[in-house]
Amino acid sequence: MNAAPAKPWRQRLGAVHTWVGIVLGALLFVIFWMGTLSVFDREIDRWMMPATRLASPAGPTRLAAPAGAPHLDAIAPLAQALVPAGARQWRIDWATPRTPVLRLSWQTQDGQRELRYLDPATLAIIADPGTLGASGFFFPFHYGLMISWNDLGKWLVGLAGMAMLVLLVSGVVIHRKLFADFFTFRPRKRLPRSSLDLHNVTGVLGLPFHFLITLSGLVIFWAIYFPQAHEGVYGSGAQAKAAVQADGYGRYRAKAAPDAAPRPLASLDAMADQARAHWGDGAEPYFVRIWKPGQADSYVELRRSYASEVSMNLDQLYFDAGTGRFLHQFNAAPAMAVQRFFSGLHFIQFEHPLLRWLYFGLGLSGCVLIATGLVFWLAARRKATAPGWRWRLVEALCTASTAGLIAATLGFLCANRLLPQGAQWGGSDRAALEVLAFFGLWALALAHALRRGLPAWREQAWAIAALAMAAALLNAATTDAYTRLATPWAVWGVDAVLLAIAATAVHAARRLQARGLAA
Amino acid sequence: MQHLALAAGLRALVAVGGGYALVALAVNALAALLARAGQAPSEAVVTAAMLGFPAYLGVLLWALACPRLARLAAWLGLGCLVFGLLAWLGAKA
Repeated sequence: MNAAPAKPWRQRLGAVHTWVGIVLGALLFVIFWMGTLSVFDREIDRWMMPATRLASPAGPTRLAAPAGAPHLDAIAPLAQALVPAGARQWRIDWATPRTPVLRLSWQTQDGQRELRYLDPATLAIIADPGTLGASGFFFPFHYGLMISWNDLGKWLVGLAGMAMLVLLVSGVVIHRKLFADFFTFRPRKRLPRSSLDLHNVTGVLGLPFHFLITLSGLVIFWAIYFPQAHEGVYGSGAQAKAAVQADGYGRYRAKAAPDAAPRPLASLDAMADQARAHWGDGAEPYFVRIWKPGQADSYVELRRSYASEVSMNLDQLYFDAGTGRFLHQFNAAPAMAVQRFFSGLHFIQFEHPLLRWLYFGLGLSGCVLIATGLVFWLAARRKATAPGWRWRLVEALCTASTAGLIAATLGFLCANRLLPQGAQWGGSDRAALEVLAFFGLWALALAHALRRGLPAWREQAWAIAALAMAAALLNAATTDAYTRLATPWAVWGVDAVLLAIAATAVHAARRLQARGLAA
Repeated sequence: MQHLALAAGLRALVAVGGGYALVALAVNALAALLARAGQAPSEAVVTAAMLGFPAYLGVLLWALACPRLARLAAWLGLGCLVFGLLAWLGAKA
């Protein structure tokens, strides 16, 4: 070991690329797959929550709150009736083109969070959808792997993110023919060759996107990944940490006069109009939040929508809840504004359907990049490795974390359409049962891959095709998606993608069969 | 073979862990220095933390490809020492 020959850096990076890819490739695929799905999380939400398939709010789509939106002052009494006394805050999120429901949420005195969906036209409460939906499952899975203990999930995602950056740079460095790879794909060659071609072509074409999406994902969580960054400036401890957040992200605390008495809530619509006038340029608020409702020092916060800009601005306005008097405003400082731009680049909360599809396609290309890297390594290594339990485990982990994960995701959607409303089992509610179905199927895919070895690839491709088909059919059978003209396009779009997944999986399964590779 | 794999694993651990320690200390030092140079406190922290990611990428690309554990540990240790000292000097009393 000490007599390591002085190989050039480029060659040594080749080994780095291989080993980082093998160790973290499976985890990276999980993160990329869940992130790609999260691009359309609101659309999948509509698919999973049929009661929320309302018509998109009319009017100009670039604005969060179009003309004809319900008046806040009509919603406020409803909120005051629902929110328990002593709550820390409650808030209303306007309906948007992608989320055509009003969201009323609150935080109780002991920190519990509650959420109700409201029909924006009638202000009727929509029954609990009984699901986490894509925004409550795929999205948090993407950045935290559903492991909340000590932020371990986020740290693993961060590690994988840094690995992705190392893989991208080392991949470019070990490549000499960057330009030629644009045009090289030999699908008819043997699998290792064509998977390497596909690895190179997705890697080169998607490089700027993959690099920026990974970097921006890391930048969002700067305070998690560099938790001590502030200590030289603010000192240590929880109070210092809170101070950094308050300075950077804005946090206002109203101080009540000692003899003040609680007053009824002033007109929220008037405050929203003040905010519109203050921001100008057609800007709209996207949520209104009432802090310390019912107390003498209660105050109201309005946030400016970022539906029509990349940056997730932090613009906040505060008003006295009792008088409607303007109290305070906050805007991000320049460095924080850069952080917010990176965040917006990653979260794509702006309204732009074409760019959203591009994000989806490029996200998928990232999945293909990672999976073909793994497949190429497996195929090249298979010949040189003696069959044994260790090899079988490596191969099964690769199969289960790619094909098995996709199958489990589709099974999650099927469970969403199959579980009856209000289902309960062993102390788990309906939403938890869906998650259980996901992890159950995923574990099953791993067991199957361990047992079957190489043919598991083909068999799981067939499982993907069947589950995708089943999910689309179940949607048609159990909801009014195809009997009602007003069904949002989002729902049909999810079905179309499901059918495309089924077709792709059938194609892959047949190719694997024809070559005898996975026989 | 076993021995070689173990050595490579150890090097990778030192590269990832030591590299992170180095960058984290550098982030602390830079934040403290920027704040001293007049940048608003939260701005100094965010600027330094965001620069930490490309810095860590650079360190990893060198450290993961470093073939000698002794050289790797020496450079990372020296870097930690320098930036730790800077962070300590720069921190507000």
